[in-house]
Amino acid sequence: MSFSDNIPKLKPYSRSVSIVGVGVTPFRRTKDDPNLNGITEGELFGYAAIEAMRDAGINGKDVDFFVHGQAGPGWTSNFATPNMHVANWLGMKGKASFHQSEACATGYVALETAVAMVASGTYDTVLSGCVEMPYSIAHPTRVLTERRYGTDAMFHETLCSTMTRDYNLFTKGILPFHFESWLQAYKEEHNMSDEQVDEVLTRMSINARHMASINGLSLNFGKDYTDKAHESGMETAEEYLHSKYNPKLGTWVRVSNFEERCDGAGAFVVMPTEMAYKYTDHPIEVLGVGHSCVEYANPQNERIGTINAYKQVRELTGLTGADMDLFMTNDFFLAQQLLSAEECEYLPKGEGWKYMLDDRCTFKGDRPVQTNGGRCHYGHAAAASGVHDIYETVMQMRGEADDHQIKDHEIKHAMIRGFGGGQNLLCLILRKL
Amino acid sequence: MKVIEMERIVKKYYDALEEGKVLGRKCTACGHIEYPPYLACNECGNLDTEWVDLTNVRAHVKQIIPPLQVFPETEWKNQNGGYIPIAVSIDGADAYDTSLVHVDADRYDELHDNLENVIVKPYIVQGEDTKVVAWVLEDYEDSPEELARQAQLAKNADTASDDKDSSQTAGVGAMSEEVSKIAATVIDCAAAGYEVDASSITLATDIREDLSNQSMKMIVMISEIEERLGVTIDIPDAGNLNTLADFTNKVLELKGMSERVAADGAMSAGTSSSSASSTAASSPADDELTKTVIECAAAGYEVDASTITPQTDIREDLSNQSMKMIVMISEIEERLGVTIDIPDAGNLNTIADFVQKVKELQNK
Repeated sequence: MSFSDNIPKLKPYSRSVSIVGVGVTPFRRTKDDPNLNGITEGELFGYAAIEAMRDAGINGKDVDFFVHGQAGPGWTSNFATPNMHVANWLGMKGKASFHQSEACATGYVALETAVAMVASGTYDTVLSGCVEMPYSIAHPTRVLTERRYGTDAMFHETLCSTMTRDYNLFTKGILPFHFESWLQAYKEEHNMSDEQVDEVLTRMSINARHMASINGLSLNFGKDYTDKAHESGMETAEEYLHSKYNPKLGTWVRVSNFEERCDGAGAFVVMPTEMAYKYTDHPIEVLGVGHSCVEYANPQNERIGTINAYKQVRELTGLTGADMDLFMTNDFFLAQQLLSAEECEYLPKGEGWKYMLDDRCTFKGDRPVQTNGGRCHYGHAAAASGVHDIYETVMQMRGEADDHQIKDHEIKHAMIRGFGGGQNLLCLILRKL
Repeated sequence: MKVIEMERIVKKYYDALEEGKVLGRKCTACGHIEYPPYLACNECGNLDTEWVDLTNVRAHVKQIIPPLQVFPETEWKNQNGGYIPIAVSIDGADAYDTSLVHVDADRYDELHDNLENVIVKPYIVQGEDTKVVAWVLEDYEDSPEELARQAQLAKNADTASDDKDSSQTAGVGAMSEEVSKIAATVIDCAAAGYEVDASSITLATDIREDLSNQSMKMIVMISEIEERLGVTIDIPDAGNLNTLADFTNKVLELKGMSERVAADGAMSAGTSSSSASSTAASSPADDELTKTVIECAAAGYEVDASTITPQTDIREDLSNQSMKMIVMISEIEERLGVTIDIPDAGNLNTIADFVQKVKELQNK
């Protein structure tokens, strides 16, 4: 017995729900960008939401309810109820809304929540979106266009605030970046050498950066690691990734395996599938959402939560990771792509690292993973990142992912593995109708 | 639920640590142990648990993790004779993440390779606010030197507390007559606002911690200050003021006076605090150190070194991308043989700040 045996079985939705519209802003460091410096949270949310409504072919009058997400509105924006601040921007004055905040899992909870509201029969059309501006912080009492840089010390404190201060923050065994325990376990379970782990992470960095470099929404659009190497007078990306420009942060993880913080927003519109056909020939149906929360103090909490959430959605849908055509995942630390893809049976157990080395998990490969480049290279805007994962999935399913479109096979089913807040794990399965 | 039934679990746990006891909770239905202690059972869901003494428990180590290079918890490590993060597994309880102390990180491989035979026991150490539980190897015993060191640590903690207390009685002194009057008026206004005796409060008094967190009382106090001292204090600004010294200084600032008071009543004439960035490097050795740090910054931020000066602010003038800072620090560490904690670096702004930090570390 363990607490994981207490995770409930999911029941089918009372009615089928589909995504009909998606919209995102590019991921940028807005304070550093002359064209965006001064933009506000409400505007970012608004642009993403309006793009999602345009994409769906609806407007604010058609939306019954909207859900606002931000990982930590108090951390960087000094907001308590940010949903109240955006309705006027969307043509939704007077419409009901609420704000939800589950750290970096917020973007996935955004979908889970909106789908549940429609599936219950209470609402037909729900817009759900997330915004985050963690690259800078607001002045508590000044106009929103004025922001200042936060320091890493502040960011560290923010991370610590995702841990409970009854006991666990003080054990010192749960670092805010307690990110290598799962990787260590994987390495040992599959008898990998340190050199092999380094080789895998290097290859994953090169591929993720390349995918980000050809994606106009990405923070790192335009340059991949080969370009960076040449700029620094080196021959290859591998050489660059083993140079002083890419020091180790832990035993195996280097700078290139770590998230890049930035600003952005994303949104989507969901409605009953039967109604969705009025707006699109190919709704993206949400088949189910597994969800498990395992607090930081539990060893390898991310892995345990992933196992629980995957098991739930697998039992609900009868589909396994092997049935999926695309796997998206929260990858603060790049190794999570590999680890979660295997735990969710998208890649065969113990073999995933070889898939990574053989470039089989890029948008050109047969088992694509995180095709937008992921948090370490596409960028990470906390709550908005989960919505960007959903956006990327929908675009790949529609065949509209431009230069990084998967061409090897049609994307009929996709799995999205969400993680955030140190403890919140979700596993979503989408189907293109 | 009645108040009498609402036992303060967390407080009892920490109170017990002060007495040298480690407590957990045990399920009254299935016997599962909750450590750290919680209310209900996570094994069977039963809502009732009872206290269990784990002071002398022994446990296995489920996982041992190499310490990270970022966020290395240096202070914790130095205080406790080295540490390694571990997952501890007490029989009958879920494993949990904690730390193994009094062990050098160099022993990681040895312990890792022999993990099934590693037995640990709880070990109570002084944390910042209270005693906390770490773990030590079963055969670890405190040496007389370690016991003396811990006694000193506890004494230091008491002294720090005493210092705080004594500062609260320091009152108003060593000030100019005008500043002294303003400070005394602020104290009177606080006494009026919070309805306490003025003799019981000092410049060190924290209005929220020591008086009341009722903001209406603060507003009464501010209203008094405004009326008696002829200034206007914005309420949102006041939210950032804590002690009566803070309020006195706000009044001094609003009156355009350059003097400032400290919580212990000392007065300073200047308006700017000294910072590392204002400390110019003067000796040839300092010049060389500054040059090296600038080169490291140039490498980290991928800019020409000639564009960087000691006054360059790494975030404002170079980039707020913390990964670039980490590359810079990595270079500094390699070239100058020091270790800079990343959280500490979060408080360093200019190149001169980093130079000063390196000098401090080299002189340790």
